[in-house]
Amino acid sequence: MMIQLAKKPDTKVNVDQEDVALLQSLAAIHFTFGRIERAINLLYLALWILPRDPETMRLMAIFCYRDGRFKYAASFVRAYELTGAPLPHDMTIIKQRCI
Amino acid sequence: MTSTEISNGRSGILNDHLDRIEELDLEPVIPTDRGLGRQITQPVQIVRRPPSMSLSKSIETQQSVFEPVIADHIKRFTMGNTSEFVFQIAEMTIRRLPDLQEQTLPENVEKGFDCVNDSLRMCEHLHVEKSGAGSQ
Repeated sequence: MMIQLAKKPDTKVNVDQEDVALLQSLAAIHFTFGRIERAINLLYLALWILPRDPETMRLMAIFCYRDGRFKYAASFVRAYELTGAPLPHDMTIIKQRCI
Repeated sequence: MTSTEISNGRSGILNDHLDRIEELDLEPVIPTDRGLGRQITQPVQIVRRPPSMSLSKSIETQQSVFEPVIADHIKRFTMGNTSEFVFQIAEMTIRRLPDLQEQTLPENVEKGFDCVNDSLRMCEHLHVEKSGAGSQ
């Protein structure tokens, strides 16, 4: 019982991750339908919940790049690098073109 | 520097330039050296990048940009399966509302929350249309 309690995951973190995943999906749907501005705002909300989520930053960089906001795209690439996660291929291309 | 080296240097710069144009998905323009009264006759070799290198291409095929979970959500949404979304978004709205009301938030975050509310209304509308409840 004690072991089970000790292994019980942090519910708050899980809820945050679930909400962020939902917001990412919602943003991706808006992006797919060409509503990039809305997609970016949804990701800002996701970043407010989990400020250092690499996937949100990756999507932010892609959406900003697609929207022509190259400086923002570059800043999200830098922020992504600071998380320590390896830079994915699409982020590398954005980095080459924007920084 | 010999003339061959200069020529090679120019060819290298030109290739880089053309490579960059290729990368940006623009039509390559072969420059001519008309100012000096002669044309560059040496054919320029354009090294094509593999398709996976093109960002615009991967963005065009939307779902490959996204993680499988997100791609699955998009697929389900575009197929009209919005009931799950309505539930999840509503749940999230209820959960986050107290935090959002308590704090002074940056403009973008507030706009993001407005988008969530809009999406919720949109999903509800689609769900009602699909289930036929709106026609009653």
